Amino acid sequence: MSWILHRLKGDKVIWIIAFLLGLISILAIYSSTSAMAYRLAGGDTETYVLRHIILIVLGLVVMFVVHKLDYRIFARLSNILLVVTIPLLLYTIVKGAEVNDAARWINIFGQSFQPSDLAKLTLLIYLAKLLTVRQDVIKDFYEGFLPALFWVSVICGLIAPADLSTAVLMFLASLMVMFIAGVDLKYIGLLVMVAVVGLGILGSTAKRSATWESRMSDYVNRILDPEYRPIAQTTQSHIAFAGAGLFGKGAGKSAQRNFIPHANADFIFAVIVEEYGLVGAAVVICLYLILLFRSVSIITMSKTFGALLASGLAFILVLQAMMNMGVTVGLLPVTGLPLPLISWGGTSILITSISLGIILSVSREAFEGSPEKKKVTSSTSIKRKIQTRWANA
Amino acid sequence: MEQRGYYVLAFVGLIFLIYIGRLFSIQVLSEEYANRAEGQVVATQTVVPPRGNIYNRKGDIYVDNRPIFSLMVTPSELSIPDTTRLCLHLGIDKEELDKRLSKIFKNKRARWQEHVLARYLEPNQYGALKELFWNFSGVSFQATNKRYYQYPVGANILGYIREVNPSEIAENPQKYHRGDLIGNSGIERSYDDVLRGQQGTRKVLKDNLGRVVGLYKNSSLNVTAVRGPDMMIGIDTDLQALGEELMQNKKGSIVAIDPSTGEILAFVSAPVYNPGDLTGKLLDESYGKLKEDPNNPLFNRPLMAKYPPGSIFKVAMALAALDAGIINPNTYYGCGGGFKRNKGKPGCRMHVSPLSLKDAIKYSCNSYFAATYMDYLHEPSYDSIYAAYNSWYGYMYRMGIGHALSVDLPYEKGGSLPTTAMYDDARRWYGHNRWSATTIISNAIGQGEIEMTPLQMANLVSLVANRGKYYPPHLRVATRDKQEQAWVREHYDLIDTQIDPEHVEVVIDAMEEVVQFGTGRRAFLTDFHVCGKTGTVENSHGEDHATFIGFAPRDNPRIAIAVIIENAGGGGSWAAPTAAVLMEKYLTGKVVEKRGEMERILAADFITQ
Repeated sequence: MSWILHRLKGDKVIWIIAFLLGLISILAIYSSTSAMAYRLAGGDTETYVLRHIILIVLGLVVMFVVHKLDYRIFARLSNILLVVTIPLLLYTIVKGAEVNDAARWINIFGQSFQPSDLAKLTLLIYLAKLLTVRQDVIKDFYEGFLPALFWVSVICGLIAPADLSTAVLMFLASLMVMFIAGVDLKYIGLLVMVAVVGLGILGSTAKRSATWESRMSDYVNRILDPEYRPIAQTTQSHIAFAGAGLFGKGAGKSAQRNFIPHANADFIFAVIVEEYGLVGAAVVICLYLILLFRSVSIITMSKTFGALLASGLAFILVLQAMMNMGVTVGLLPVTGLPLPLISWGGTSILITSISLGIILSVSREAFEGSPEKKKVTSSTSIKRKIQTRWANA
Repeated sequence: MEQRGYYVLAFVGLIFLIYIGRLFSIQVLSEEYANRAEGQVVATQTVVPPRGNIYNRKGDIYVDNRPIFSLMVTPSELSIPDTTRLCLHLGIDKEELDKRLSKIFKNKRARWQEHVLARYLEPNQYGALKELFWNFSGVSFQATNKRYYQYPVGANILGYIREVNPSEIAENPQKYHRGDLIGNSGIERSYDDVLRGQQGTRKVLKDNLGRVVGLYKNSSLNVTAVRGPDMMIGIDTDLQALGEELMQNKKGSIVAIDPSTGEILAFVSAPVYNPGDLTGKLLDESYGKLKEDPNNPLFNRPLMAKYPPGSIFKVAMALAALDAGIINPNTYYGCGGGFKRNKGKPGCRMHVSPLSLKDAIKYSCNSYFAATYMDYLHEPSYDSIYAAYNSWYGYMYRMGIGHALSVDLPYEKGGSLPTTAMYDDARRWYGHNRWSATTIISNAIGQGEIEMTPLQMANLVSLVANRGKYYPPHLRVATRDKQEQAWVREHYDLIDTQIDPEHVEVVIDAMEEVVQFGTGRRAFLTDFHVCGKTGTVENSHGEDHATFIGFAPRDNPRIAIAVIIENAGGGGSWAAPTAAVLMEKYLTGKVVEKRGEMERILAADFITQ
């Protein structure tokens, strides 16, 4: 144990957050999976929870391995990732298995796999690299802004028909990364406008527009009409909140888990709130916020690429959590986004672990200094900075 | 760059703060969701009271309730060690059992709730299963009631019980819930609101898996179910049973009414079926069979079948013409085997001529009534044939012809009585001023456009027996008061046809002669002055229908009856003796004088011949 602890490098706070989220995940899954366990394994909840625990542990192992790597590898890997991801996305659109009417999944070696999860990594890594390379001309429309816009558009555009929510999520995260990288605000504003128009066109043509329409109209009605009864998932999760109180009903006491569809995936936050109350919700939200805070702090201590990479990955992770919770509390239209590191689902956990691993790798280097070019001046100044920070924290 | 990072952080933090606020508002401010959160654990169960019993006119229980059981299974706890014997007791094979179980198991969400495995188990099955279940788990019984018929007669009167259908629930969601029982047809339907009583509710606590774990707030919020009150109907079950027996192998109707009250004594629709066939698990199967039967036993003939009344209509004609002053008892018309003033139509049989009203009724002379009708419509005191027709129409209408009598049974038909407007319809009939007495002369002998239901025929003779006044025919006599446990009689208003009782007496004289010397001789009873009129309804599809209307005794009549036997030929040979058997039975309590007739009728078959 101490051997492992000794070798855990990087931001300890992020590690603690990862452990805590994993723990919460196991508890929540254990509680919420009973319905699914009955559906698929004849009541054998333990099978599912065990599988989930293994996945979480595996995720931690992946995090550990990745955080030991030099994150610059990913800059080099980014082209390859792009070459792999884009055909995969194309393939998904053409041949994807219809899960929940959405062609999001493909089968690889018998495992269903969601390429859009991989695309998240790819896009953010590539974007970080691109913006780093063009840091000098970042304010320029053609040299700095357009190339970034191109790749964001391509990848989000490929994902959008089957999985609009992920596309929107990635788009938002990309915007934030571009914002941090110093892209002119007016270009970003322009981009938002283009995106809205693009969404409109897509919404009127795509195959899933019926689903979107019902979700959107449900959302609009909910906002505008106080008497409107929201669709089942939202209603059921509201009932869960109402029954919870400040401290919740206690672990494993959720009643709504049997009524909320996808209680172990998209709506797991409702189960957490019901069982652990407003306090539990606040804790989970704080964990994500601290994660974001720590990642943003790394920006100050890292090179451009590392900073953009870590913050981008943190953004998308926290944004996804934000969108998931927004749906559950009924402030956003229903999407199919899982709660990162908490929801059920192998791909999601794996990709989240890789993301956290990369963030940790960046932070590790920020603490330790670059393994290759140890510029004494900057390195010592960073170290000092970190030490004061830690002392203050 | 760092600064911009903190902008993002602030942005995300703000949104999360909004989430917390939103959660807080749902929790603390929204009572609705809180109630619903409670609603998930406090379940309201409906308690269905037994339906009210039905009594016959003698005060004996006619219809009551017997327990019947549904076998329930709870999938999550189910263990069936002995499927073979379970199947045996349920009367199903292994395959069927597996099919039902897998259907129940398919519903993944409700594995902790009870599901129906088998419906409508009889008490003996229940007993056998109860013994078998000592080592079973996840099985239970749910008791409900089904109707039990102490006298297995009068299915068409009583109707049957079934589960409400989705459209009825949609129409009246406050009143009906899934699985509720409702009376379908018969008095079970017309008095459903009375008989069903008031459902109660019981609040129970359910755990998060939907299992009942206890009572909520010590049952203080429960609403007690109120049993539907008992009801007495005017049916004489013995008379009804005899009527149904007489009508075996025949199609037709018998309606008997107590003229002094309007209470329906018997209401037979043949072919007959056992009301018990439409209860419990028999319902679906029996209903299908009855529905497919070519003789259409589910068709409530006395209420819904419309026949041209034929010669019995002459009673109504005579009353109207006498009262309108068209004829008097001494008016004579000639008859030369047909109505000469209209080229011999309608035709008639050979009998004395010219003849008086009494003889015309006795011999059922078509010419006499054709002449009467023509004179009625040509009567100069009316401005036109329209006024004359409307006067005649008014008499008929007041005698309960051409409109429903509002009997307390659903789906009553009103028969048909043509209006001048109908004849004026040029497209379908004749057109304004394009018809005359001769055009519609068949009305005079009950063969034209006039159609009556057997109930209307019985009502007609009932009002004759009651000297021109009648109580609307009805079934419900009394309802049992909840507090005092005493019968509270229903009140019905006497309806006056405004026909002078003197005129009615003339017709009654003739009707008595019909039975003494005329076509209705087979209805004769030594001890009672039976009055009646036979009829033979021309039937273009086959043998004529035999009809008879009559009442007895002549003074202070106790029973008025209408009999229609389809395809039996002349009314005198079959319908009249059938009526006589029933009148004897009702008046004396037994059949002695008419025993021979009874046996002859029982042996007759007018369906398969």
